[in-house]
Amino acid sequence: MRGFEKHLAEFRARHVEVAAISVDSPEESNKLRASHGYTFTFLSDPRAEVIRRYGVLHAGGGEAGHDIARPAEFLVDSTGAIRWVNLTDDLRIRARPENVLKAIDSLMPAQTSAR
Amino acid sequence: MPRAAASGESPTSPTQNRDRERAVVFLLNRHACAGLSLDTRPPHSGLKLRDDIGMKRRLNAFVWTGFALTLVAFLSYYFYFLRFPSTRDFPWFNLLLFVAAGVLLGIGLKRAYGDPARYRGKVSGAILGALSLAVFALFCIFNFVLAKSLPASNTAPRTGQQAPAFSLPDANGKPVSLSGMLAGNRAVVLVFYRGYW
Repeated sequence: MRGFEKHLAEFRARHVEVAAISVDSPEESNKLRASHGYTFTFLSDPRAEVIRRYGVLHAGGGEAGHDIARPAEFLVDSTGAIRWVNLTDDLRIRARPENVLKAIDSLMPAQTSAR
Repeated sequence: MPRAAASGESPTSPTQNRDRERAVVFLLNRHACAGLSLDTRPPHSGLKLRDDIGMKRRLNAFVWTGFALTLVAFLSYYFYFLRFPSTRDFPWFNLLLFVAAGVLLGIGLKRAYGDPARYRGKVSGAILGALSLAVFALFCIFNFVLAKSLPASNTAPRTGQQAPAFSLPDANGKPVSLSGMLAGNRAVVLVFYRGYW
């Protein structure tokens, strides 16, 4: 998350939006954004409905058996198609923003001339 | 003392007697001084003697430093090294700290058991060593076992499939939809995270 914030300008330069999703309430997300200086979008899915739809539910993974999201990253293009997925098998090992940027550049090269 | 001199086998002159007497008293005095320090060794080396009076057995600093380093190795991962992907994905730096702590503890324990007359730490070393081992085990369980206990995501949409549409409140409670984010952008990166509940 820290890494995405650090590279946010590079995502924005490619016209790519970053959105973090968890079961946290908007209040909790606000606290996190304030304390860590995150400026990208945080979305709240307290009942894990969207998390379930994306198949990234970690049933009982939270404290006291809460259902939460497992770490995962999806790259969705403007037609709504998924272009790249990262499903880690280790909590600590997340997609590095550099690699997501690389994936964006190789899978959907910028049509700067068209813009 | 005079009796000792008088019972001498060979006849001695008064001056010889006096000399011998002085020597005996001198020796006795030195032994008495040594006795104060509870030292049974002959008091030939004044320097050593003073050392022993000043500090009984030395504090086994290696044991304590090793234990402290173990705690640092454990806590610094969660409070610091987790921030950087290069030290987070594989905690090599923290494992190095654990190894260093183990070496210190090893030296400390070797001292405590090999030279207990000079070094303390037979009991504290054993306890701290066991605690350090437990902390290291905890670190390994957290990072190499529990971290990998993620459910398989067989139902997750694959590349090429349509991303499920959604609308969720953002941090200010304002609803944000996937299609809304995609409008005017080339793509959106959805980062699912565990959260803080």
